Amino acid sequence: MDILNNFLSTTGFATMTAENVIMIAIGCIFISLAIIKNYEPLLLLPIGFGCIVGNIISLEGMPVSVYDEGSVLNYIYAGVEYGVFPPLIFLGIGAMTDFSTMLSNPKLILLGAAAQMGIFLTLIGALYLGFTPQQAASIGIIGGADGPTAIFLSSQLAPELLGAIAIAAYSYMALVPIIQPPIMKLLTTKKERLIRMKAPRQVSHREKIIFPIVAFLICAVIVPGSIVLIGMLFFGNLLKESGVTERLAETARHSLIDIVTILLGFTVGASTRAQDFLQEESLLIFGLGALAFSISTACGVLFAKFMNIFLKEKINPLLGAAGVSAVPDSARVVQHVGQKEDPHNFLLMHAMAPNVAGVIGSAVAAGVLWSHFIAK
Amino acid sequence: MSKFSYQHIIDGQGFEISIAGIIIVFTALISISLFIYFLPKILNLLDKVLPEMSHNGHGHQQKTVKKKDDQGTIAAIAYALHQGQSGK
Repeated sequence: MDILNNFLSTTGFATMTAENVIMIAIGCIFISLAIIKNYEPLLLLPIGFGCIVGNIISLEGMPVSVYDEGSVLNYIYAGVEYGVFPPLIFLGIGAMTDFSTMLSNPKLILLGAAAQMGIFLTLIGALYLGFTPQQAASIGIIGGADGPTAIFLSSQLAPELLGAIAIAAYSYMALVPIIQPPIMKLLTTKKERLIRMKAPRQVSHREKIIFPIVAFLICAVIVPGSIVLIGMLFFGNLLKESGVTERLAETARHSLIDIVTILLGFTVGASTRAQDFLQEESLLIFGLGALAFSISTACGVLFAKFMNIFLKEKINPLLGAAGVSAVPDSARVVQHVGQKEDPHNFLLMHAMAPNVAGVIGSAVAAGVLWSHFIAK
Repeated sequence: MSKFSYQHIIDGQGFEISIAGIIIVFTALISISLFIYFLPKILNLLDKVLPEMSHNGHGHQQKTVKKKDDQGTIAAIAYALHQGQSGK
């Protein structure tokens, strides 16, 4: 009987708290959103299941969770902790990104820069709320709507907030179709939403090959801190565009990115143990993350309107919302909102330009913040 | 974490970091934008000195095809001449 009683005291029923149950419920909500609503299923499903796994509390001395040294999950989580996974994801993103629309209309790149303002304005907000400058920088980067960048920066500057920041970043990426449209409609007139874009020019193969090399050099020279992310992004793109490393590009954009996404999503989810995660800080991070994302969207749209003051050939200000780097979801949202006004207006292709520029912009912003705090 | 205060922003150099950050991000992306704008022009100039080569040996393949076509034409002309000379 004693053995049975002892065993019962070691089960999850005995060790679980109400907070753990809440986190398991949140994990189930993530899985439901992924399956029923199809919101970022590749991320939300592993994170959701990881949430459930991470909130089954094991016995002391039994290395099971991501925080227990020597456990299998702890070894995998090292890829998150040491910032190994995000650059590998960037490699895959580079190998699947076609920069043609950006190369054909370079002025749209500026929208990718404008949409990063949310990062820096949220940093100010986070400082006001009492976070340390390093924590504030890591929270601000959520506004870049780039999960791997957010994980990379917080693993370097504020590892104690990694779980909350990663969950917030990926949640808002999944909620792009809900958060962005009201802001886009609020800041634009019907006439502006009806603007049609000129067809992009044909980009030569040589331009596509030269671009990743020179763009990397520009970013790396201006912000050496961005080398890790930007370097992998453009390296992946060169693999794709060179035409001679198709096998490597294929691996990077399929097998590699899939494996890393599974490991990253699952372990980030498993790191949300209620005892560490359900804190006042996490709620503030979620609030600030939403603010950062909204400001970034608004800044992109407003900057497009500002550019129209000087441009003869007007750009559709909805494209500004794609400056946040949630690829390709925010570009799809632009297409969707634009087609609601005019079903024959195809903005998706044009929206990909600020969208991929946003990826570069958020990685540069992360590099700036990392350099600043490392140099301090 | 301490209470909300404007002083935290000042102490953490919030405004300085933000302004510098936005300027640097714009500088990087404007530089890329300018480079992309001038790239086709540079490549056009470069084309005069160093014409774009066909990729993956397509050029060689085209030459081979052309050579085969030439041989075919020559064979057809030779056949026609032969027919003409033999009075058929």
